[in-house]
Amino acid sequence: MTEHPQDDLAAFALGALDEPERGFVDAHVRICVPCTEEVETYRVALHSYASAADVAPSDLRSRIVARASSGAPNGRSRDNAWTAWLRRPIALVPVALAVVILVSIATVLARPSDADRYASTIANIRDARILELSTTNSVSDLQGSLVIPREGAPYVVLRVHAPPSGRAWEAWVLHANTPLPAGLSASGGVVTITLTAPLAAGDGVAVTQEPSAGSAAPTSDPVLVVPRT
Amino acid sequence: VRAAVRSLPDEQREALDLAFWGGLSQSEISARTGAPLGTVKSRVRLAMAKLRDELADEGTSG
Repeated sequence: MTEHPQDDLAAFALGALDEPERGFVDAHVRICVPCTEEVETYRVALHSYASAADVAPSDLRSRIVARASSGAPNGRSRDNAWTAWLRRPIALVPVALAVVILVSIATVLARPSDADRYASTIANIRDARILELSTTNSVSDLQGSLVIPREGAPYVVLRVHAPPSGRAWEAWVLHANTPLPAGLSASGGVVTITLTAPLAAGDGVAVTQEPSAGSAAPTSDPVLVVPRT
Repeated sequence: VRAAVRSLPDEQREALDLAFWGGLSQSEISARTGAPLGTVKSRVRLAMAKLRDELADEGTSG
């Protein structure tokens, strides 16, 4: 057996190892009972750490919101629509009526986008661990977070487009390399799916697009994933 | 657990927080904080050991 990666086990349990170390330690832990047991002691400690919610850094959510909000492509189209509206011949309309219309239009145009609503949803979560899901293919205009509340079932918050007719977004808990079906949604926009499969320490979570009745096993590649909690 | 976390040196707690709550890897923590990667690894290792050992002590004394 290869040398025990003693110094990396804590970071491995924490999910903080970079590649290729993570892959090496993962492969080793699978065949080494003492290292598996040591990793488990760290995971137990992390569970207690997660449950001590008031130790979470106070600026965590603001950082998540800043990251979630970056690059939201809303300003340009909003400006164009607003400018176009101003070019309409409003000169003959009484001033008071014009003001009312302007305010109404501005209100409609200022409705929060899905990106804004997603960021707001994440920002308003309390007493929970939040892990951002990564996009895994060319569909980059998606966002998702896994939320592990201090109390209650874990869930995912997704910003996704509406799936095609007859299709749905399906969440999966990745337990011991086996995807377990964990909830469906046929909606688009900001979507919440409460995980119906148990989520253990070290499990991953993924989202795929499946037939609307759901699948027993994924039939497509994941669009969002967090490999390990 | 709270007491164990609060007793950590600031730089160890920062590394733990950034990894656990922020989802950053050790190299990302290094880039974020400006600390050398080896230093970050030590901080993560020490913080995790402290957390685990405090829990073990709690288990045996309780």
